[in-house]
Amino acid sequence: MLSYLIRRLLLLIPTMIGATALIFFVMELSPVSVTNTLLSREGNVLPGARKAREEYLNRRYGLNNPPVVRYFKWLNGISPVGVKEAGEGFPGAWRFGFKTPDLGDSFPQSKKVSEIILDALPVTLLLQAISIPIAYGIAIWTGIFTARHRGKIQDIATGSGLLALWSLPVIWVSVMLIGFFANKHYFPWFPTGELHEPQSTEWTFLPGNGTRGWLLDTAWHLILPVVCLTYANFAYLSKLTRAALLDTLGADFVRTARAKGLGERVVLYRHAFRNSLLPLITVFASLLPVMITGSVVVEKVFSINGTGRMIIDSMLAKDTELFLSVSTITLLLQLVGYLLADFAYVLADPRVSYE
Amino acid sequence: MENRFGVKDLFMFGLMVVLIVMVGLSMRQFDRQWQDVQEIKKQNSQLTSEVATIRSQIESGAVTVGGGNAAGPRALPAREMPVFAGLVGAEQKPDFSRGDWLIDNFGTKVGRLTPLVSSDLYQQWIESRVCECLATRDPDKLDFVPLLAESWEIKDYSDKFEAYAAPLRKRGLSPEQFTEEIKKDPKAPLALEIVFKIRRGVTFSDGTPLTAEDVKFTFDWIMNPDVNAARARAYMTNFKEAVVDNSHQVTFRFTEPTFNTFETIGTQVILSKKFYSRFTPQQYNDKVGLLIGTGPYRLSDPENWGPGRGVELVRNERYWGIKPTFDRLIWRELEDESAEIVTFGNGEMDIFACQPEQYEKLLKDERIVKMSQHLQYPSPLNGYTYIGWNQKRKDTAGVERPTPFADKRVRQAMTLLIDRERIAKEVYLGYATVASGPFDPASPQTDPAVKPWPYDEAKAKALLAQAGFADKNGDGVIDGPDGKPFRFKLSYPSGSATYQRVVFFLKDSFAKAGVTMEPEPLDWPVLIDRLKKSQFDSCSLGWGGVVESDPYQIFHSSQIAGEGDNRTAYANKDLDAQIELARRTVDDAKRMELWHAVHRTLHDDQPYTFLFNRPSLVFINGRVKNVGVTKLGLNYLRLYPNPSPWYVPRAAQRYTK
Repeated sequence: MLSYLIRRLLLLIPTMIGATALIFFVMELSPVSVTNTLLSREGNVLPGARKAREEYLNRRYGLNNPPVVRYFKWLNGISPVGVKEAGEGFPGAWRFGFKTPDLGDSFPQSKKVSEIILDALPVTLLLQAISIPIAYGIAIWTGIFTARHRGKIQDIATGSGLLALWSLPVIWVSVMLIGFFANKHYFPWFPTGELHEPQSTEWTFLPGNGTRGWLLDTAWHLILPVVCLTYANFAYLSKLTRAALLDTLGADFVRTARAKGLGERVVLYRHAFRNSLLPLITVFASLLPVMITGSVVVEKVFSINGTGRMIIDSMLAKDTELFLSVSTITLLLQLVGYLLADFAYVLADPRVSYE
Repeated sequence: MENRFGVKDLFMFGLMVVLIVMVGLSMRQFDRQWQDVQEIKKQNSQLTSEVATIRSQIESGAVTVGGGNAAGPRALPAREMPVFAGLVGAEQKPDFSRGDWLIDNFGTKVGRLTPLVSSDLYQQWIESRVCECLATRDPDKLDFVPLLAESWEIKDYSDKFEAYAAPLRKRGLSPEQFTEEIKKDPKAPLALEIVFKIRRGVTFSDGTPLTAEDVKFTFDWIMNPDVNAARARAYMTNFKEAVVDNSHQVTFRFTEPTFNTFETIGTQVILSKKFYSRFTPQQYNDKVGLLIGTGPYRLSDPENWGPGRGVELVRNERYWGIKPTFDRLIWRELEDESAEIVTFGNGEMDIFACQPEQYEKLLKDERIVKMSQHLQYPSPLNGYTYIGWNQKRKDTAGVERPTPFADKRVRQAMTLLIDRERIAKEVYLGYATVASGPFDPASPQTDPAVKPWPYDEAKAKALLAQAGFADKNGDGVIDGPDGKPFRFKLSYPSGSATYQRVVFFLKDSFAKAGVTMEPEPLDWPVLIDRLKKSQFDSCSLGWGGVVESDPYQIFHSSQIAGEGDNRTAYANKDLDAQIELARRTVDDAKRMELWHAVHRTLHDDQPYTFLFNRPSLVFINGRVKNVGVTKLGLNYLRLYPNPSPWYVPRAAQRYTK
């Protein structure tokens, strides 16, 4: 088990280097230079000043270095082991050793990449942390329900309903939800976007003083985005649960369990269900990076400043450092997610073992 | 084996989770209280120091009744200042009331509020509420009126300077080289001096009084090469020094006469020396939320604003002028168009600026029309759209070749082939007027005698034939002097449906006359790159505007090489001379004559086909009263620090407790 783990962890390193190099050099191939996009936003600059500004940007961010040098600089920055500033990290006197990984600076925003990510991340994490358990909960429940009623009218009705949900594009649904459920002229039940009412800054935290309070206000603002994030996911997950459960219910050991005279509930929950969890775990592993990247569409439509919007903006501004850092984190989570899934199999299924 | 996870465990687990969540929540609440306490402490200390200052002033006898401690004539009271005329007028209305909040929308994320280093328009919306400048434009007369300045005096030494500079001018230097030469020569006479008397009794929102030191600091800070303020610096190439004469008077000295010097200095927002000098230039460049000023509103925390939270300004209770009407100004960051419309319809957003199609659609929506007021108004800030005809195209190897557009007659013919009136009517639904040149029609720079070229296909064909472009083989397609069909590409930014329709319309118009135009939609950064490398035939874009714009960067031939904005390689020696002369003429009336000549030359040369000046279209919530239009746009000026006369009658207030 341990040797397997170590092997998998070591394999992470070349995978990461390969993937980040690919992203970096593909971005480098684009005909647009980051100084260009910066300068074009500044408009109205006299030629001399523009030249000076371009030189300043190139000097400050080392853009004159060849791409290979810049890539290795960046790689050295994010690596916990490498060339370091004198006196920093361990061992103190050496130029080479352990140090704090640094994601670098974003040029277009002239800010530390880690700060930018930390600004946007909590919002996305909050949304995902609410929507993923809900999606899983509903999916497992409907999955079991439809599997139990296989072929009956309940199954077919739920099945078509889920298929319909799955096919609805999120962008359309979110715009419709805003148009009907946030509109004073139809059902003004929800807010149209963002995470707080403008007034909420003066409210107390919990309900009181005739206001609903900051906490409830946030929850209220989260409802529509969470619905949009959830519905497509659970449609897919519940189909998956149903298929896996039906597969197990047809297995010999289930027949044996029934033959022993066990009750239907015991057969379903204790014997069949646990064995059909594997595909759900696999899917969860691939959902882990989504927790970070968020959903661009939902964040855009509901004007939420999460990571999805941040990533798109970084791509448009050719913000290589930011984009590369987010990709690295996502990639790392994806790989770690698969690793975790592999180990979760052991817990869910006694037949799996890495000894 | 029997060590199962039972109901009891589940209960305990649930209890733990609830406990952890509660602790987290109470920490958060504690944090909010702590912030409030900090805020109160800060205000308290500011108040204490203010009281101490007042006491020491009273004891030293510096303050007399009426506040008239200034030497010389007393300054105009705020109530009589022209800037506040609109607000004073509003106060006379029977239903006038202060209070309520005004909610505006950015339509994008705001990343930076620090003055000078930020480059977006949205930052300026906020800056112009929080900070003030020495002078501002009167929105109706378009001349400059005092704000933080009591008065000013412009000492124009142009005649003496020109006598000295005449031999230098004959050397045929580019304007940049000329500036360098002048700066190098210690014997060069001063060209211009502006003396500003600063208003007394003005304080920044943290309580520190505004003095001449702050004004000097602001301009020294801009000129500091380590401060990332290239944009502001670019307009101050002739700046020599700012000298503090006494606590409330500053003299600015300039090495060259330049037409917009007064505007540059007068409309620069004044920074607080006490607040900003605590930071090194590097820290200043990197911090995103440093904003403090003397204006009617303030950020509740002038140091630690961060992006992602929208922007909220509260009333500056220390404001020296007439108290503004709204308690708070809020900017949301709604990006999605449908969300914007719904939010506006719900009354949760007060200003909605829209595109022609949206405007038409909303006008048909009875519910929206009933709860709101709508306006369309021209504004010089909207600028103009154009088609630029590239006269020298570079191929990928960098070899330069003249294009057919190097011939003036071809450019004129192109303009004649475009039925701009029809595009304005059909694509912009009438919300556009045909432009005749680069200056705003309402600006005194425009020569009213210049009328836009008409749509005239026959005349265009005749001009093309003179230039050697005619249908030589009778296939209905116009051939160039080399016998090949005349065809060119039009590059334009992709992503806008309106633009797309204009371009298709153009394609049709040209095809009718036998000229083939290929539309080439490009991503914005790619388009910029092509323009920079001169790899395009023609391009359709727009320029933003100001009241008095400077055609130098766009049309002067020195701006073709390097990084200038003369991307279409247009060169005309006469125009160069006209522009240079106008730029160094400080006298307004004389200069306007010179701008008129520039306008006429550009009209005849058609380096661009000037397309349209487009009005702003806006819907405003009905509870806001006293909405009107000035020559600069709405009477709530988003880009100028002029006080707004808008108010909400007491009964209609939405956010007042």
